Amino acid sequence: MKKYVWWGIVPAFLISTLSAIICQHFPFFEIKERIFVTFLTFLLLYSYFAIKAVNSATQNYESLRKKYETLKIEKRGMIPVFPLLKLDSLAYCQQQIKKMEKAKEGLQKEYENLQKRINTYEFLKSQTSELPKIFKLFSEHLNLIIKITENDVLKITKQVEELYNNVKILDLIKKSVYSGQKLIEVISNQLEHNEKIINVLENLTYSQKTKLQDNFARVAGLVEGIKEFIIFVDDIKEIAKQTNILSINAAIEAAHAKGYGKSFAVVAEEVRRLAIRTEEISRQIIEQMEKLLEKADEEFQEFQRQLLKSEDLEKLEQAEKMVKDIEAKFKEVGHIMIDLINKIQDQQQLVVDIITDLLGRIQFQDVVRQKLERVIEGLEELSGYLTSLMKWLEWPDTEEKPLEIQKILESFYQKYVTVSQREVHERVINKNIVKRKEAPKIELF
Amino acid sequence: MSKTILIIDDSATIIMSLKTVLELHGFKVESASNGKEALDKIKSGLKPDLIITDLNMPVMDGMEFIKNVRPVLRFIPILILTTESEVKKREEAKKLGATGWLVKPVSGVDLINVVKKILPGT
Repeated sequence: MKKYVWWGIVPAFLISTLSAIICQHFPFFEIKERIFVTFLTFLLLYSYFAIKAVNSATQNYESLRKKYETLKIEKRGMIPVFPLLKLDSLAYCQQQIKKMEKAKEGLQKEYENLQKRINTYEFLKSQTSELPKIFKLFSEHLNLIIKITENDVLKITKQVEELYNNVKILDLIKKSVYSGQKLIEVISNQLEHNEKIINVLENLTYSQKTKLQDNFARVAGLVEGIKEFIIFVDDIKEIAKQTNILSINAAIEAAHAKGYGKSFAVVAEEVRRLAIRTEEISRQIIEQMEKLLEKADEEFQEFQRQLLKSEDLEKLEQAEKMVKDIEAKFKEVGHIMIDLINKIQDQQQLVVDIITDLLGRIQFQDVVRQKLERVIEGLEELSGYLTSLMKWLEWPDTEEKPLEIQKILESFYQKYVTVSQREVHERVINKNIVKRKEAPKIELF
Repeated sequence: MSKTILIIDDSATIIMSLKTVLELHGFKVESASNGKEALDKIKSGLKPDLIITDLNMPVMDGMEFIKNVRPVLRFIPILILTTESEVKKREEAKKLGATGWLVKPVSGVDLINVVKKILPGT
């Protein structure tokens, strides 16, 4: 529109300058001067109003049309004051109308575009208003995941607890085995005691054996003595026989000597009687000795048999062997039990270690829960942000402008608790990872 | 006599798992789901030999609990078992009087080793 204003001002300025030059050469300048100034003023005013009219016509197409009609009707009545302002109002208006029509077309296109944008906005608004529901849905899904995981982990923990109770049973077994171990110790002590007894028995057996052998030797010696004595008595018997024969011969010789040999015959008789008596006694001794020998021989044979048989010794030896066997068996059982105890202890320790480790690993659920809860909080914040953003888009004058999304992201970042959360954020949002000094997982102050 | 350990955590799984593992190693275990509940138990006469607490909890968090419990139990060791890895928070807990810091998940064996180190003779 400004160019129309300039169109009025420039000709007015040129005309006034020309008029001033002309007025200088006029002989009656002084007379005409006032007329010229008045005219010039009028001209400027006219230019101003005319341009203003043109401007208002351009501002409003419909009013221009009316103006056009008005101008069309009143064109003959217009005052043709200045050549350059002798615009053909109709042509000018037609030109303006063409421009306006072009502008209208442009506006129409813009309107259509705007309408499209409005439609898009309306669509966006309707769709965006659904997004909080979707965020809510995601949140509920995540909450459900948390609950399911928590329930499952609780079940696992209960199972582990049952396993732990089994370990308690193992503990009882351990105690029983411990009692067994004590029993083995007692048995071992008993075995040591038994061993001492066995040694005593062995010594006793040896001693008895030696004594028996000594007795045997003594009895054998006695038997031999008796035999020798029988021979000796037998010799006496023989001597008595010989003496008897000699005494008989002496009696016969005394009988031959008659009176001279009477005393000799008495001695010979006495010698014979003595010889007979000696022989008789010798015979009796021999008989007694033979009986004794026979008995001694029987006893000796029996003793020998007993010695060979030596049942008591055998029993002692058997007892000793049995005790040794029992000891060996006990030792074997003891070794088996100790081995069993060690294996049970190893297994129990293994179970305890596994349970302990497993229970530590269950903490993952809490870590996952906290991470998911942070995601849920983020979704809820985003939902609120979208709602406030849509309200602000619809009523920007009344609604408060929402925070910038970057600030919301910063708020997210501040609420993270783990290194991995911060790393993911930095990788996705900042596109770089800030290397941090890793603090130890376990630290005692 | 077995030592008593108080566990404070809003997670049921953490309480159950820690309870089981500690009982398995001969400790007596008491639990609370937040700092306030734990504080009430202590005021009611509970005298634990060790406290293991989480940081992020509803009603009363771990830091607040340490602030409140220290005037009552000055020398009882307090371990913090948390997912939080921020060094600043660790320093803050140290200043408040925490004994140690464990980042979840911590293995049961490591936990028992730490507890036995803090409570010698167990």
